[in-house]
Amino acid sequence: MAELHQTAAHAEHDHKPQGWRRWVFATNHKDIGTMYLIAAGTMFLIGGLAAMAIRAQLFKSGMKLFDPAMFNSLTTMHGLIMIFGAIMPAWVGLANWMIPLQIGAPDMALPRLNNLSFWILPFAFTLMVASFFVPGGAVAGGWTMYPPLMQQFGAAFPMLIFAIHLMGISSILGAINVIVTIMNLRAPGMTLLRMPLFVWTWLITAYLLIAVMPVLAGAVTMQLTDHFFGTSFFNAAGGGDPVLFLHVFWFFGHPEVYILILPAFGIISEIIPTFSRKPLFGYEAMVYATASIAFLSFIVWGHHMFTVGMPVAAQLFFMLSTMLIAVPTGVKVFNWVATMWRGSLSFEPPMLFAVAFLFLFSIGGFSGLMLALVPSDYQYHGTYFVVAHFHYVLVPGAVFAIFGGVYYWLPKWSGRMYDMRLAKWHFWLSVIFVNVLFFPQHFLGLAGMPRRIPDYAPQFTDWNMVSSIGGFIFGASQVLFPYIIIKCIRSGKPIEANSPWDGAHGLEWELPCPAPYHSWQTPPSEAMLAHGTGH
Amino acid sequence: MAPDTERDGVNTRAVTAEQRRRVRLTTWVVSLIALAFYVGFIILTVMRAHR
Repeated sequence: MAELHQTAAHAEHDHKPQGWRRWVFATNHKDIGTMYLIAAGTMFLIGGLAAMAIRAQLFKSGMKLFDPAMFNSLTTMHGLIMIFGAIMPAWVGLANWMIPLQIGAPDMALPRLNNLSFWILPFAFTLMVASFFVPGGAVAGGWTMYPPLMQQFGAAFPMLIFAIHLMGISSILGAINVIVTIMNLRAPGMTLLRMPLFVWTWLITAYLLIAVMPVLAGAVTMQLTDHFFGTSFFNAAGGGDPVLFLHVFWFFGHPEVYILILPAFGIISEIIPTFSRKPLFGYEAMVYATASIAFLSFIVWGHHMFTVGMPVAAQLFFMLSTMLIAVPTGVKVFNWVATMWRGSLSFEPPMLFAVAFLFLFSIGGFSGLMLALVPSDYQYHGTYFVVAHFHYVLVPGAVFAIFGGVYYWLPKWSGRMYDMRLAKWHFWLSVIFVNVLFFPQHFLGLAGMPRRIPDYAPQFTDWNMVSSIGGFIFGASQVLFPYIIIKCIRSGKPIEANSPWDGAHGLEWELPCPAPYHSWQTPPSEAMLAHGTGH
Repeated sequence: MAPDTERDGVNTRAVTAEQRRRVRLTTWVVSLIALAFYVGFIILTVMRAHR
């Protein structure tokens, strides 16, 4: 209690830098977290506009809104923007805000590096988006950047590679910061197995980033030197091997999928116990399952490229190792359901998004298992079935978890409660129309509609129309999200207690609302820790 | 490490000297892992591409 008073007293005379200096020279983890979230939201809007354009072009057979080259640029840039510009920065923003609060640290361990990690990003994003406006347009070879197709674009090619280098550097520096903070600045008494699941999943994600972002940087550097300096890493004419790029890229690419989804697992593991009013079922099993998924993600990359040709033994290995991922993932889903079992459930917006995550992420997981089977992958590869699969994983998976996380912690950040009714509208519109948008794409893929095409045979028109209508309404309903946040910050009802959620446990809920600008300058006591961690 | 009190208003007293030493060590180790993956994969690619 004494600590609480001390923290509250300090909040009254927080020495906040004022004006633009507060943001440009920011070293406070909360300010940097906020900037990450705003940047991610901006890129989500740009990537979302590209998605709307794609769905408009595909509304019916024979549409001529964009020429094919522009359409391919839109699909390529939509993928790159959403992965590197929206979801990854949103996770880093949430990590910045929540990790110090949850482990009882005064800030991130390396605050100036934190500032650099963020301020690299606007330059990278500008380079990436500006490539639309150079002669020849943005790159159009798909987000996977396969050679030699990738090298056939003009100035956009080196611009994108430079942007990827910058984003990679930012991610690596951010990951170093997260690891160093978690390993060294935990409050006394907070052992590794007392850490909140969000912190655990982020620690493992940070190690994934450290391992695979340099691999992506290496792969695109080699493409750059192939193009400009006459090397032949991936150039068959010079003795290189284009398929080699696929191996190197997907060694990065599959762990990247888990970089996008592991923090989501962490958030769901925070939300479900709170609104079930029960401790998380199988805490240690969740930690080990997360680590197992991370390990397995390094040995399954071949399932993305069964159809390029590989020995049967390699196909079997990649098929079986991929199916193995279902085991720890199943442990997680079971534990979430077991946490809810006989709990005192309530369905505020964070819980609604978490429950939708459980159902819809599982659909994405099951279609992933179908794609892991070598014989059936030959049928599905390169079709809309794949598009449906990864969008189920990333939209009602990663994006819904981000929504859930923001709705869960916004009262802690702002000290105010948002409009519950509007947030529920946001949820129901999102959950209905995300299915209208993506579920028909399974049917289109199974019927043989290829992905990455600006036009299609007329028999695919009906389901494409349904999908596009779902897309437009889903897209429009996302306008509610920033509106709800801004309304909350400006005129939300102030929160008196430390936590607006009666079932919440965790050190962040031991702090006042809003969390003071400088928090945990005095480490939390063992009593607070015991209450906060619940064990 | 938490920056200067005067400049940033962050209380450096919350972080001990021992923590500072461990932060430096961890930063070096993790950075070297990242560098090893970068250089290692380029070397592996060169070996595979031109064997």
